[in-house]
Amino acid sequence: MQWPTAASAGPFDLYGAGARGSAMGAQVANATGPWAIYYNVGALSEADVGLTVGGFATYNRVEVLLMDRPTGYDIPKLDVANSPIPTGAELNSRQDTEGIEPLYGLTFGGVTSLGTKRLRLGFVAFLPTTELLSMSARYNDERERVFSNKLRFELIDAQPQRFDAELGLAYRLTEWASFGIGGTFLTAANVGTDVYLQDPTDQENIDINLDVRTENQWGLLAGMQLRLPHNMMVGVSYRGPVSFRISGENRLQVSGVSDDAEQPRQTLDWTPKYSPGSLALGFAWSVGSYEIAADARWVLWSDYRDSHSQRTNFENVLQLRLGLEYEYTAEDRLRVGLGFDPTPVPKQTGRTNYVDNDRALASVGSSHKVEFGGQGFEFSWFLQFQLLLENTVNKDGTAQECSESATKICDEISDSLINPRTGQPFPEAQGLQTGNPGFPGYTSGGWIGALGAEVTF
Amino acid sequence: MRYLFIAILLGGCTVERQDSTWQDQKFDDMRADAGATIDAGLGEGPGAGTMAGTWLMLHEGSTCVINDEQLTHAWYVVEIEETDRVMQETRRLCRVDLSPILGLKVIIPDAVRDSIEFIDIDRGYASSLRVGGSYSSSTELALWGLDLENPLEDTLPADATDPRVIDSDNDGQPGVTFEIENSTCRRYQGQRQIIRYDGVFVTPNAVEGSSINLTGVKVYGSTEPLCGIAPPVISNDAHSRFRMVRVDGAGGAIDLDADSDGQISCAEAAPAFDEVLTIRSADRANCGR
Repeated sequence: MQWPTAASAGPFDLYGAGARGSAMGAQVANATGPWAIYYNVGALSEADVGLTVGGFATYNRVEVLLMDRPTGYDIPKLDVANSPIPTGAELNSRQDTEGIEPLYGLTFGGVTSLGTKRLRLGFVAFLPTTELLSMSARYNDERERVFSNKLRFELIDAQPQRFDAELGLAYRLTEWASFGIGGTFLTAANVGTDVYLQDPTDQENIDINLDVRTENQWGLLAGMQLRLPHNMMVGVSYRGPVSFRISGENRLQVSGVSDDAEQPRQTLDWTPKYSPGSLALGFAWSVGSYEIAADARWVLWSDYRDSHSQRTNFENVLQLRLGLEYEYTAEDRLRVGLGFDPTPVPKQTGRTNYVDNDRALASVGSSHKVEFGGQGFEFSWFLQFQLLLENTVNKDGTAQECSESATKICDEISDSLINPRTGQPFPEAQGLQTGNPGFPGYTSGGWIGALGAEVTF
Repeated sequence: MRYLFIAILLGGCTVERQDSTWQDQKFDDMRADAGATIDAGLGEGPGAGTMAGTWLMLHEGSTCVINDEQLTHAWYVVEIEETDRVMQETRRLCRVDLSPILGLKVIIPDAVRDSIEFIDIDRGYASSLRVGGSYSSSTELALWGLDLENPLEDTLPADATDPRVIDSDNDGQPGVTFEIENSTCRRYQGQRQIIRYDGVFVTPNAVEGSSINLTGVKVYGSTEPLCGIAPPVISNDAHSRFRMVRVDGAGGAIDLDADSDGQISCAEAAPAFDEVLTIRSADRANCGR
């Protein structure tokens, strides 16, 4: 038995970490402040001691528009036991996807030296102000018809709606080399229920006990920053994968079933949150009042587990960022950035409907230092725009019978299913019958915007 | 620049719904194709999964007349429309043979046969189309030379002058005219025939079973007194039977539509008449003698 959920990257993976990082994009070689923990924990050794408090909000106009279904492929109503729910009798009608949940949250960061000049210890955190942790369930194939009966963006929708916290420790080994190590934190849970069903015909009245145990999971962070001649810097970082996995078992006791071995068991295994591992190489060059930065991040999506903890055929991708910072006064800096995130999701021409798009990013921001009450403050803001390049999926014209291993769009009613009344196959079951919400195809696209600000002191 | 940015947001990022390359899927053609590709004998074939279509039926009705058995062999082409397991059956009587009584064999002329009005009053049904499944026909209600307001319940007119007695075979005589083989004797009569058929599927394309017959006759005249004798006709259902076979080519059945016009006429069905059921001869013993 499988249970549906969804999975995706964290809020920092999608929108960047900190106002400077969100505005410039490229930060692996030249990250500043506590946000270096996310981009390159090795660069944390250069961070100023202090605190950062901020927040950001997102807005989007993304869509998944389903193609009209041709006639003759609906699930018919058959007078046979265990036949699928016929088309039109679902809880929800097949529908387009309009928008994703906006994300609002607060960001926190802090750096301390612990009294050691070359040492820095820091943390960053994102705290959603809407929901601390949002998890909703989705199947990515025909099974979703009897639930939401719509498609969902796999990596950018509910996934970033989560608490995110990272710790880092960095040390400047020499005047030109720093090394850091840290961890990104997520929880995991072991969930089980004991259910007693006295009357199998009255399933509204059951007795349930719950057993939940959470545990901490850490993803490794490691990085190095090198200062080269001519005001050039190079950074290398590694981020280990981290996931929120829920596993366990439902144990059912049904009155009348005396043999315990025959009592139903339902296995639970979800991975609702997943941040992929990545390797990043960054380069930065300061020329006068300008600082130019470029990042290349190899994101290991091939290890991605979907909401049912099943491996997918996602591909590793290379994300690119290009950033520019212009110091137009000693206190004021203007930042711009460009980027491109190719989708790791292959063309969904078969059974699954993992919706994702290539994204082109553009961002702008600035920072301004002021003094107030004898205390220095730096205010920063950013505005980010991500264009989802339109992606049209047409399901392949070949089908196979549904099974665990089916990869093509699959026939939910076997052509050889016999009508117990006639002894003949059902005419309306011949050919392909599918309730897959993504059949016969769909188009996804749109844009995401994010606006944020922070103050550092 | 600002306006360009807004324009991109509002227009450039709009997602357009695309059209599918999948074609509509049709089932009726698939079913017809499946049936037409199988060549089989009368009553053979895997079945069409429905009774809808054209069937050929032979009814061997037994009655007792003056303690003698009279067999009526009637061949029908039956058109069946099935809706949610309930069937509307439209019968065409192609041929009727009656066994002789007291040495006299009644002949039913073609004009009479063609004038018979079958009245649709109810529906048939089948519990299952598999071998062993039960079939119960709609009621076969036929009026011969009569026009009754309530065909099922009205009393048969007693007199030829009753306006409900009609010259349905257009020979200038009241009711319908029966002939006597090898005789010029004619009998003018009205008749109401009520039959229901109950059977089981012996193959998916063949149903066999028995019938319940109720026949009422009123004689309105004759050319000679002997022909006008109309002794009571007593149903003898224990010795009545029928067999009905699919003949439209669906479900692997034989296809008697020789001219491929989508209709099976009596003439097209006639070559198969002798194959539907092995008929028997009347047996006086079946009427208690």
